[in-house]
Amino acid sequence: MLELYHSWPSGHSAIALIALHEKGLRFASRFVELRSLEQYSAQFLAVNPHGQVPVLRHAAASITGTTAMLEYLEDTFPAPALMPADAVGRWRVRVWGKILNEDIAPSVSLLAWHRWTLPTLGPDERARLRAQAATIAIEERRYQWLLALDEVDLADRCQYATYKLDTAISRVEAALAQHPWLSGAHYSLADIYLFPMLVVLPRLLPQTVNARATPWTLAWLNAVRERPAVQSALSFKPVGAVLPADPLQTFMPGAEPIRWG
Amino acid sequence: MVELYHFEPNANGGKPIMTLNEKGVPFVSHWVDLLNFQQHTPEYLAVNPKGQVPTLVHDGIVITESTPMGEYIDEAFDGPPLRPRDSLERWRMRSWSRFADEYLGPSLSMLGWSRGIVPLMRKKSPAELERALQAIPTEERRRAWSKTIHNTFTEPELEESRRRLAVSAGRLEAQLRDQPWLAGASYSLADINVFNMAAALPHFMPTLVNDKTTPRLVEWLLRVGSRPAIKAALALSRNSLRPPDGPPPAGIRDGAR
Repeated sequence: MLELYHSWPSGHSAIALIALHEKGLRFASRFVELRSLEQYSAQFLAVNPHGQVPVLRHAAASITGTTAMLEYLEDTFPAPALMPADAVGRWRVRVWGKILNEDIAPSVSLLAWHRWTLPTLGPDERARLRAQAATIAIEERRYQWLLALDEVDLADRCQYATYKLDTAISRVEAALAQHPWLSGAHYSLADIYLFPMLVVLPRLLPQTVNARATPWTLAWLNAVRERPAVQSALSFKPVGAVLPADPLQTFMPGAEPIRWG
Repeated sequence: MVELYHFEPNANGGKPIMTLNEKGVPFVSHWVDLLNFQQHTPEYLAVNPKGQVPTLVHDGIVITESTPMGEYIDEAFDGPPLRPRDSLERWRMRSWSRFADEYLGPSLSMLGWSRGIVPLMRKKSPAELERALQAIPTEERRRAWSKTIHNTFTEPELEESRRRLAVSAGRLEAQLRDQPWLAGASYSLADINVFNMAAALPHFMPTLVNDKTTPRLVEWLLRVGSRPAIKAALALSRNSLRPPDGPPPAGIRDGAR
């Protein structure tokens, strides 16, 4: 049996949900409420000691790390294939995975949290989160949360995140000018990796992602969004969960950017 | 034809050399002198516009980024498989490789640069260094080199790197308690990827990483390091990073991904 621990369909949780829907796999949904920091509860840390979603439970193991998780799904459930048939194409998918993890995901979650999610929190909720975040046992996560709530070095970090996204988008646009999908002629894991992050950019970074500057990226976003599996994943309603008003655009403080090198 | 652009056989630059050796793939070696900024020359940027090593050129196809490059080499060439057949072990291989890329590697590299490269940069003229900074093609590499040239590392960030090295040593020791290799029963790309970073741990953290406190980690380092493919890769060293008065500051990488 497959179980997926996940939050609402945005960011990394959306990536996992889309992959499961594309593969046509049935899974038991375990909703984790990030807004009450349930990911750092003792129960959840028993599932993933790093306190992050999504987590796939399969064969009595916790499969973490979204890019490695999707490769695990591909290795375990090969049909329908979501990896290119050639080694160069597969290499491209893995490079997009690195760009997701190291450049795109930390930058999108930083900007979206500060521009969209944090301003929706009232003073009481901020104070509650601040008190709770100070007790997070995982050093790196506690540090990220306190940076995010106290808005430390905000202008500098946002500027760097914007630079990272500008660079990533120019690579995306260049790739999509060459071929219809990120890794080549066929839809692949690379498209699933980047879609939930890039889909918010026309609103988050309109000066970078718009019809004049990035026509191929916009056409690709529409093509991915039209896929039935993507629509089912994005409208997935976990039982008993109260979703944010705009799930796709609600981001919590994410992984830190690479510290060096 | 297989060509590899690389610097010293450590950190990310060592990974493809060792992987090609393990597979028995002959390659033409092109040395890129990072300390003299050869990676930012127009000739090299024509090969890899990001100005990073290593770069593999296989029959004219340019393959960058050392971790995905490892899987490419394993898929594209004959020779002993370097990825487990079992999908859970493969997942573990990729998780450990990511740990090397995002956690252990950057921490080690920050300490390595602040200790090893800063003194080497002091020997160069400010004008030469300023010209070198201007030629760097990406903002992240310019930030890293500027910090090194001007030695603006802060004590809290170096301390955080030391803390992460200690955490890394603990995680590796725990993982190797029940299995011979990082991914499980078989030697894999994870061992190559993590070895290239972790080989420097006994040097950086001698009180934390030694045969008494982390016996399994030390034994694993020796076991990986004694493989013929690894020894042959390490023998390519030109000792560029060795200061006149001490052992080489292992684990230094530049612009390596």
